[in-house]
Amino acid sequence: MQLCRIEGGNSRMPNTIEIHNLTKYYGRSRGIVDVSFDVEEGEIFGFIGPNGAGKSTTIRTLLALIYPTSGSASIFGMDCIKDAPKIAKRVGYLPSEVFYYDGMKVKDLLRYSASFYKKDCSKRMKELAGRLDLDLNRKIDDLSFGNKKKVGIVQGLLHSPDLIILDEPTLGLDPLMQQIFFDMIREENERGATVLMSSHILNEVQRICSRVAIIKDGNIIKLEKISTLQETSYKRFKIETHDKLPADTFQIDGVSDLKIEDNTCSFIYRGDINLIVARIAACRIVNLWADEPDLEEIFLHYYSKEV
Amino acid sequence: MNVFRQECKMNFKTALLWILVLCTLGLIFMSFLPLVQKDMKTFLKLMDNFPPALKAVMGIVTDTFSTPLGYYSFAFTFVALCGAIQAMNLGVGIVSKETRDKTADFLLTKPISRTGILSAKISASIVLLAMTAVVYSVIMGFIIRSFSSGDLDIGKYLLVSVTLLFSQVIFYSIGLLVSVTAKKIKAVLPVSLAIVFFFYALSAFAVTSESDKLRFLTPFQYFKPVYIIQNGYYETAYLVTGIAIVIVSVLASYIWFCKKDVHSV
Repeated sequence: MQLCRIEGGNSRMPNTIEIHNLTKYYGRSRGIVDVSFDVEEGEIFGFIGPNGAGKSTTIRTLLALIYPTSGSASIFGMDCIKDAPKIAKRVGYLPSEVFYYDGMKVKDLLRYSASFYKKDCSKRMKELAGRLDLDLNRKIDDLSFGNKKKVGIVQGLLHSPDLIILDEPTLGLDPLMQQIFFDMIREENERGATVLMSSHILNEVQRICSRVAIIKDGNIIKLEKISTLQETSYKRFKIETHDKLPADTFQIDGVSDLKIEDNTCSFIYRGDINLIVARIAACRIVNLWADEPDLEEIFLHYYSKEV
Repeated sequence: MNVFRQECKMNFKTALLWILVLCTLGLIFMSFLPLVQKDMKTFLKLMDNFPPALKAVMGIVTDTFSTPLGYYSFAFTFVALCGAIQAMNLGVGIVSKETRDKTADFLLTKPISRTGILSAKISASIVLLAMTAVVYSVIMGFIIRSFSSGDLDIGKYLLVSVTLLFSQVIFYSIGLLVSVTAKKIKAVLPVSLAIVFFFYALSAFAVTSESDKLRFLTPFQYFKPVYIIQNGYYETAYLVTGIAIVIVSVLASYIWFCKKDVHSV
């Protein structure tokens, strides 16, 4: 009984990833500045921001591919630079663009990858490749971009890692494969793996993550639960009307980037969808587009004001 | 061990090709030996017309030129040049190819330290270069024997041939340092050819100059076959310089490789 008390006491399991004031400059140009956040064990953590915001810089520092200018990060309670090889045993990484040795067959590459972990992965290799519909006997040079990405996915998950780090994982995957991929990541998560995934597509992160860090111009500007983020949905509308619209039709709260040109009008909307739909319904519509705005647009029109 | 195996595998075919090149080159040169021996006088006259620099670079010494070993020491300078290109290619390529083929992200996120990766790559290269030297020396030995009438000094032949490996290791280590320190090498061959021919040109310069000091600047001048055949041993000062270059380049490569930022593409 004594034991239980000690466990429940002050001793705290370290978070899977802990990042403290991580800063990286490439010469004089900024990579990331004072980035700090934690990823708890067992969660799927999203890391979003526009291109060039510093997502890859952060991830590459965690993987000891690049060295921080200042600050530190730990994974599984170990220093991510000093203990990199030890940490790597339990990490699976999928880079945003995958490239492998020319002239190797898919299965040779995967065997080579597995040989680093001293585990028998042949069964899991077949299983993962089967799910992704990946032919193990093809030469890697002959594969399309999407198929190379699949090799990357299998390679990253092969050794059943405790932490999966994904950098823009869906780039190059068709929607069907994305679905399968997200299912696989969820299963890995249920198995106990912690996931850190970067993306510049908000909707993708919303689908799978429980918490997100939003990075812009090298700074973390928000750390949010995905449920909070989901309450505020963003939509980009484009409307073509029969008659010319009065300029103030869509001048309501939550509308940004409003552009009216003759009979077409476009804007981004954040807020209660019903309100905006009611407004739209009042017009004589010829055509209507409602899209997910990309993250750059959201940042430009909402987050830039908040920072 | 797996990285070592993989590196050997990936560079094995190229090494075989180089062995073929070196042996063919040696064979072509040696096949002229009977001709040289037959028309020695005309040859010597022809040689006398060569500029002294050219003769010196090619290691032509007119008194021993018609003996198999003497002639071989002349042919060997070309073999050594090719060998230098092979070694330089291997050195320049072995690390830079990871950046060029964008495989660095794969290899460097595996549970192996950077020191471990570089050690595996270097050992694989040394094994391949040693294999080249051994196979070349054996094949070439048979070729030379077939051209000589039993008076071949095997010991001296080997003493000369094994310098192929020594100079290759020196060139390799220089290439390795270049490959580790360079940001990105787009193509290996132009870079390695440029470096090798730079040293070769330096070599021509060194042999024609009055002072012997210039010879320290180019590994091509560290092992002079003519000297080795005459004396039966190497010139210590140059041997030591060679070893020092290898140690310094390799150490610097380790330090640099472990500190280097690996950028995404």
